[in-house]
Amino acid sequence: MLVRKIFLPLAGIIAVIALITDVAVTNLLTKKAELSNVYKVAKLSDEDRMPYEIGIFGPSIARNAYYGDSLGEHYYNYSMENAGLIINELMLNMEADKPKQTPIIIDFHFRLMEEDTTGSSINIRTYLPFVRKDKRVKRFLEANDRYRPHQSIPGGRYFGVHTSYLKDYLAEVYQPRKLYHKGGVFNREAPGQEEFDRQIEFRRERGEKPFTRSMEGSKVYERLFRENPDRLFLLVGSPRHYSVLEMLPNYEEMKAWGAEMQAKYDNVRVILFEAEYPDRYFKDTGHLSLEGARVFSGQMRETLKALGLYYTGEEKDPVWPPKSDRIAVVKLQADS
Amino acid sequence: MLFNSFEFLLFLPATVVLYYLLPWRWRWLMLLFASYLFYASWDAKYLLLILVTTVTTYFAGGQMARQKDKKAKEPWLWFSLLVNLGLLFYFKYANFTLDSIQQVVDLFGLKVHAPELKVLLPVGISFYTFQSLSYTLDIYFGRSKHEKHFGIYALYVAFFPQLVMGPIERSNKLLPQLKKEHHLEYDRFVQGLCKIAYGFFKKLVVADRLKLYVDEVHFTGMTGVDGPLAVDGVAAFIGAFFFAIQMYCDFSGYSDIAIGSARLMGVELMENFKKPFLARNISDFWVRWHISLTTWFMDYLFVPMGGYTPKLSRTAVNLIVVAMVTGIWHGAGWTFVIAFGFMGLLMVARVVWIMRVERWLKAKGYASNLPSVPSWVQIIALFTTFSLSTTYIRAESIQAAHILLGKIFRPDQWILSTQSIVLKNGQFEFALCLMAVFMLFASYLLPFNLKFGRYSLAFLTGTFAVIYFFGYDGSTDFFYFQF
Repeated sequence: MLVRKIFLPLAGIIAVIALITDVAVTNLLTKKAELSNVYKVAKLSDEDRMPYEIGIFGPSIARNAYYGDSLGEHYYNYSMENAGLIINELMLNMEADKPKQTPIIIDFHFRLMEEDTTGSSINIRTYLPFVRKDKRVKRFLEANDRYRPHQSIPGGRYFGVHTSYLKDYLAEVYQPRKLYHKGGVFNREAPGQEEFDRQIEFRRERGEKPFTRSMEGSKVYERLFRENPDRLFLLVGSPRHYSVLEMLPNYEEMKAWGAEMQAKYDNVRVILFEAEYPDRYFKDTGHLSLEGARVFSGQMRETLKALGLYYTGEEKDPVWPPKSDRIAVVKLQADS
Repeated sequence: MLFNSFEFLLFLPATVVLYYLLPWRWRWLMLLFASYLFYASWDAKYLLLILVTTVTTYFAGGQMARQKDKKAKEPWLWFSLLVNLGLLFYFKYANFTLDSIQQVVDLFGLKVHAPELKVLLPVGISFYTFQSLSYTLDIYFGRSKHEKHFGIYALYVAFFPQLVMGPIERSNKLLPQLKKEHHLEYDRFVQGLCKIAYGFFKKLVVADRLKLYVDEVHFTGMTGVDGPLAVDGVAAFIGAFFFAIQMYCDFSGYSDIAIGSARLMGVELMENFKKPFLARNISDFWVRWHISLTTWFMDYLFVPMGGYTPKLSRTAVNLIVVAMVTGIWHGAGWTFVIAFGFMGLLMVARVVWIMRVERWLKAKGYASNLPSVPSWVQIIALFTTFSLSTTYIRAESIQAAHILLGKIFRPDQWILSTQSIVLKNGQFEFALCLMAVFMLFASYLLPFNLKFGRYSLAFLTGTFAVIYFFGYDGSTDFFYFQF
């Protein structure tokens, strides 16, 4: 009686609900929400797409800094929030595995090598649709203790994150204050001065995490540079608010690591942008606003051209200019 | 193996099927093996601790059972208490004690460094220690008889549904049930499933969702108090409410799953929570919250100390001591002592009101003229007070709790903007938190025993759908595991 009256009907209903939802989430929510990180991983794991594309990788700072169209037609921002070492490693290797010759831009951020041993910065919903399709994704989740067996079961894999997909989707549809453009997310408005001052005060009170150079982190990036000699890696330090730089205790150490990489590998170039931008170019003390991103991306394009490092992505055999002994540190001013 | 893990979803049905397939005489052995397997999934070496607790309490119980004179029983009672409370102290409180000594030493400017012991807190040690101690205490007080079957007793200590987070059962209630032959009963089984489903709803839909907001408020970050420094009074206030509900749903959700799982095998465990947020005063609250622990302390500490006595000061001391011990049972930290000490003070205030103020008012004839406070006002007032006091339980330090409470009680720290209310996770997540709270209180309208008769399938399906769509990633630890 238990089987006939409870278990069978319950299992049937559960199976139907779960499978219909799985199809709906996969086809409607994850593929439509271009702003979401799921969309970025899907784009990146598709080897045949975008042969000319130049990918930009980094954390949310980078997501807010690089405005695709101001850089060029084929630039795409793959940056994700909280992307430190572990996420960068996955994303960069996915990009490097592609049969392409386009440069790869890595936002040179002081948390570039920050290790997250608990994997807590991994937003699981970003990777779920690919657990069965892409072994690299499954290995990545397993290595960071985020893989659970139900993630391989159709109908069960999205358990616990349905609302997150819906949130991404709704954010794209109903978010008038933000602009989503080629992987970048930009705030149309800067906050008021009062809010800004509050954030600066908080940052000063809290201090800033130092640049963390780790053996493991260094190894990850060095392996990437070494194993992909045909790809140019541009380590670009995007503009930081002055309150960040004044609190960063070891900016010079960060520069030194960049210089070491540039000296050691022929396919690495480092460009640090130090900007004296007004507060209205920032959405908060950590991220550029839409206006700031447009200005910076335009200035970056001109700088790259001047350094001979600007590529459209369509070059058949890209030629890299000779290396300089020193990394490029470029001072930027507000656009008049 | 967490209840909300994939492994448990396989483990529980397999155990239940085996339980009913096996002949009655072998069931205890299978359940004991399953219970040890369940516990070993965290750390097999800590099984040794359970065995030590089992053997010492059983042995002490046996020795006491042979003595007729209470005086002659005492050495064995002390033996059991010393060994088991000693283990509990070493694993749970040794570092806390050393830390506290270090702080005192630092105050005097002495250059002495207390060592730090490298011990991990074994899961559920507070729960199974108290459950096994109740066995020896009951034999000492003559309330229970010694169990002759060591295997059944070992199962009593380790019975997997309530091993790591209770309810803390009493031997005279659980032991007979473990010995009895249970047959599969349709109604009881379905009721067990409903209880499990409701427990998962509380954990995955409510507790884990609210945890996102609460964690943001209490975020430690670089300074150790990044969250408390960054949030405004309004978020700190909402965070206090959300944490109280999170803690309740986390713990009572676990209890519901434990009760439901045991019920599938015909075993009835005691209810641990009875809608505590409908309590109208602090005494009423403690009759509804973590009942198995409250009654444990009531029976084995409060009453032996003298309980409620005509002497007000004595009663007050008893209440405060029990409250502080309850606090320290929950966690090795001063924040717990403060939170529960405050609740003890509320209990004292209530006793003073009843024993002195109310009597005086009656004697003077004022009592009938006083306006009665509506129930809903009492409920809200108690819920608010309780929520604010739990800030200490969740806070990483006393300093963090003070920052948050300071913001709550200072009107200039209240900024009523959308951003300051919804925090970083945004409006959508906040709306989901509110919806979870609404669903929880709406579920208070369901029959308490979760007996739905022919509507059971509808309840199970509906609950599953809610969990499936609105549940948050089910890999979060239960908050009470740290106790």
